[in-house]
Amino acid sequence: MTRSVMLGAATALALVGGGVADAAAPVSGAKYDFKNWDTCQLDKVYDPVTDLGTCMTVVVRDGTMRVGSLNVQIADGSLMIAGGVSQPDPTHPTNQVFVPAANDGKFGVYSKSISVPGGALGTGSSEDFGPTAIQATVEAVALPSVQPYTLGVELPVRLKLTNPLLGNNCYIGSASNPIRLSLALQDAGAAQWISDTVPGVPGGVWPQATHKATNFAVPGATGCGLFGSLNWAVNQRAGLPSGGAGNSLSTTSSVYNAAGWELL
Amino acid sequence: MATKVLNRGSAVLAVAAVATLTAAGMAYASTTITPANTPVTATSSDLRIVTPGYTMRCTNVSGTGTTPAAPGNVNPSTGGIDINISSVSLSSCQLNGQAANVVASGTWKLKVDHDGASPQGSLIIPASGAVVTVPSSGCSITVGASTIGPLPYAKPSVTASNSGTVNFNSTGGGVCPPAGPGTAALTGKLTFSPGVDVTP
Repeated sequence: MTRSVMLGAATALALVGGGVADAAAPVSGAKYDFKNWDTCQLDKVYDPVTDLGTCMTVVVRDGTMRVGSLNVQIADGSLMIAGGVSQPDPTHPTNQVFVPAANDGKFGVYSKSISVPGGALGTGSSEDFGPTAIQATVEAVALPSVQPYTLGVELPVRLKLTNPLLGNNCYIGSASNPIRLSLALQDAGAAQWISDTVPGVPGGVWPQATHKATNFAVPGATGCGLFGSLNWAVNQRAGLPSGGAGNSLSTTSSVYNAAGWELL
Repeated sequence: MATKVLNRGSAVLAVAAVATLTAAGMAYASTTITPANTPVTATSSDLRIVTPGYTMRCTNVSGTGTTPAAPGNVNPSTGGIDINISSVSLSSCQLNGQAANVVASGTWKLKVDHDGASPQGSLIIPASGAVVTVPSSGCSITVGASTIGPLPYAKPSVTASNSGTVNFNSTGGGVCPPAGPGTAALTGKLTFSPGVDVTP
């Protein structure tokens, strides 16, 4: 039996027997943070005739996600949504279009990979490293909807799981069947000027805005292991597919906002 | 006894006032506005009310009024003269770059005076003088009784620069400031047409 086959078997067994894991999840690489408004395509966001359009960046500071039987802690700066919101029809100001920071296929959603606590074994922090460690990365599959009026965020995503044995094509959710996160504002909290912390940058920020999404459906895994041979193990480990009951995402984010005219 | 004390106090104040006037050389204690009994409009193409994190901007602001008829256009003592501004309209408004609706009500006033070395004016907003509603958010902001100024007046405009205290009350929720009272500052230029002379 080759080493990879042994590890594969071990991983499959571990995934099956993992159960729920709770732990702080380290984020890989430098965390995302707000620097300036160069992430806003002002020429597409701001309408000089109506004077409307706003630039927005959301940086998730903290959070927890429960999907099936899996609990993941979301680390500071592991997720950022950057872009702006245009109002193409001033007579219907609530018709808004999110304009991503760049046309790079990421839909304005940038994510650092997060270690799934307990890894494949679901046992402890030692599983954050080594062959059974699993990294999860949020990938948007379509443009999010960022609502400047309500500070709500609609986010269609898939979760990419990375592990030497799961391969490079292991996902929970897909472009055709994404996890639809509808993050409703719980409390915006007090706002302040961005320039209070980033000198010279216009606009305001709600530094501790809380959002929550609940009862979203999570489809089963696809593409995990050779020809999807470990889909069942991932599903077993994470309790997927999940119809929605009990799934939740709670976040605390810094929401940055500047009117287009302030950036001219 | 009390009268004597008051008289003595008044005398001291009078002497002090004379001394101040003499020293300043340009201080006055009366105001005259011209033309009298004349319809005027007040407009602004960029009026902003700001509080940390929030900027409300209106680019189409107007109001109409009439300067007081004689002798009401002259105040021989301190305290200035009110120019009532009715039919106040604030349109093309936005809150942080998003369209907002503003409905003004009541009589706004501009109190002008030349009590000091140069003319100045204060914008007086009545209680519930404006209500800002933000579409879809279900929240609103009511501007309360506020006096912004005195601000420098140079015919035909009075200019605010992050000035004064605009009182407001927010319902909270959505993108509105937290529920309850708050204060903001005013920035912008309010221009009268025809121009009003404010002299000692």
